[in-house]
Amino acid sequence: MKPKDTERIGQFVSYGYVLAVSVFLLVPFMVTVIRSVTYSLPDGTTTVGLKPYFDIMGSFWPKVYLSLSIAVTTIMIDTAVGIPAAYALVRYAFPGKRALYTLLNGVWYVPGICYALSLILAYYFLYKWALGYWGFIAAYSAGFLLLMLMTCIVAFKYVDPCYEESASCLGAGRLTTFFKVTMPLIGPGVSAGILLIFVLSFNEFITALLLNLPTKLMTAPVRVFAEITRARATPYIAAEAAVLQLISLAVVVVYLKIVGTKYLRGVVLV
Amino acid sequence: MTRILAKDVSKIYGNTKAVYRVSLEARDSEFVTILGPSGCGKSTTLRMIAGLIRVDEGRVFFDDEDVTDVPPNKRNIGFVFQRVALFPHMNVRKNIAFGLKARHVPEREIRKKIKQALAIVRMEDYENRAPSQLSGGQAQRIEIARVLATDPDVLLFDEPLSNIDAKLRDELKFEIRKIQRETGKTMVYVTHDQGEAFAISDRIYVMSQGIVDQVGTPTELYMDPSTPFVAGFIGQNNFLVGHIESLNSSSGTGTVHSDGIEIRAHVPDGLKCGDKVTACIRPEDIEILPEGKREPGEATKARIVESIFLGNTTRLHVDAGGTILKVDLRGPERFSYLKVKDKEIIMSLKKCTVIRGHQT
Repeated sequence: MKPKDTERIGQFVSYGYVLAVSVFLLVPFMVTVIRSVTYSLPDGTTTVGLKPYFDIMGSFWPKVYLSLSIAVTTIMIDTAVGIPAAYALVRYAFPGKRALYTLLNGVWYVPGICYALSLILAYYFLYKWALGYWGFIAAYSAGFLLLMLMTCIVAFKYVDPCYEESASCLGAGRLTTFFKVTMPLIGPGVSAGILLIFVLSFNEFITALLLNLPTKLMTAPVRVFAEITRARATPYIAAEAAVLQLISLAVVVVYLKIVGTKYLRGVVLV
Repeated sequence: MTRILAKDVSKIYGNTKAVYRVSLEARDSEFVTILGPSGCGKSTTLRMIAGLIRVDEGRVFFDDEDVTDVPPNKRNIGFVFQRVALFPHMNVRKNIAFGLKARHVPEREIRKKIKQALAIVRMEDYENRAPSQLSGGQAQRIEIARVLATDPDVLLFDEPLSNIDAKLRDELKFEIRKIQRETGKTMVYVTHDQGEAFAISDRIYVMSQGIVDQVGTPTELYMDPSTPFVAGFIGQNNFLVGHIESLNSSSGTGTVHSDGIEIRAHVPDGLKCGDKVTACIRPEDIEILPEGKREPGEATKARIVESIFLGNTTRLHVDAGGTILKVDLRGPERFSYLKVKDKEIIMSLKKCTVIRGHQT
């Protein structure tokens, strides 16, 4: 066999491998979309069309709005709380700092259902005032704050204190230094936190399912779950799932277009 | 123009005295350098002067004003860091404008001052560049321009050239000196590089282990080191540990005995016969006498152990009664001892500084 042929075979195998992995990753999404546009007519024949999408509009869209509203409010609260908290954790020395870091890391490894239950116990049953929408927000903000904290802590750690010292020596006060120098430099961390919180809170399911009963609030993912348990995988449910996928994807793409990938190192592939 | 005075300042971390009772003065328009090895407390001292580190003991004065508890942004200082601290999200113009805006300088004035500052460092064409588009030397120049634009009372430099390659470092150190002369600003400059300190300073504070060892002009430090540390840190030296054998109190000269070598030298006041001392002889202060010529009482026999050609000098390692001494030869003489080994020579110790105590 000539060396050129070996090279060609090698190339063919590697392309084939990438293709196989891509198919493996994309098939579930494709199947959902195909299922959502394939439905039966009353006479028993199967056809392709967007009817399931139009049919779910009235009942499903309010759930999507609710999920979007919860995600955006959670992002706003976590950004406002997370940035100063991360700054304090990184810049100030205090006893037990390492232990606190370990605890924060440990939270990742708590099973989702246990974490969700703790949040509900804390923010719903403990504080009766937090019934309804704001109970939801309290549980979500606490649950996802860690994401913002982590990304911002990493960002602050990578900001050399000499920038802040330099700003101070140039005559800038603490607030000017924070907003004009520190904040732009931690941009990658904040934007990564925002993106992660959006995707995860918009699609969050366990806490939302547990909160559904007491609050009577049903988010979009819970609605999809409820429908599946009730009616199995109908084209309507597939359409709802596809809508959720598309919204997440659209938000990520628009976000990347606006913010740019340079601020999201390590969170997206560029 | 401002006089800086740090009076008995200390910085203590737990049980470690990073800086202990250091007093430093930089007079109006003076260029003062703090020189010392890494970890000696020189940067900590400078950062205390800037207000970036809290002073644990002692006070800092700018002229007669006690600024010990004044935050850095209220001190009107210019601080140039070791790492380039240009804000990466702002271009050169915005970087320079930052300090001016913080001082509420009107917009039109800001534009003028940016141009002036860039002209001083000869970087007028770089106004719109991003810091990432600048080389290390260019970035440090812009950093100096940014600091100068705010017209600070004092300029503080924390090893600004240590991350720059040797050739550019040489160029920039003289430029900093020139800027200091032209602006008349009081400067405190921190470095571990003796050559850098000697080239640009009016006076040098040599620090070791958190304290000031000696203060003086470059010539004073070189010619007359007062501690074994300074003698060892500034330039090259041969250390001969021994004791004072004899002393002529009227002339102030005496004989130091060290491992079979007798050295006649000026003995500082307060020393008496039998005191432990270190005789410091610079390699260039040892002369090899031509064969046949011998000055009685001043000459020492030795044997050449090694000869290293260094370009402008030839370094000889010679064995004088069991003690290995470094000898530097300059001029045409340096070619006569190339690849010479095991040759008996007679040398004369032209200048020797006697220091109390033993160099370890």
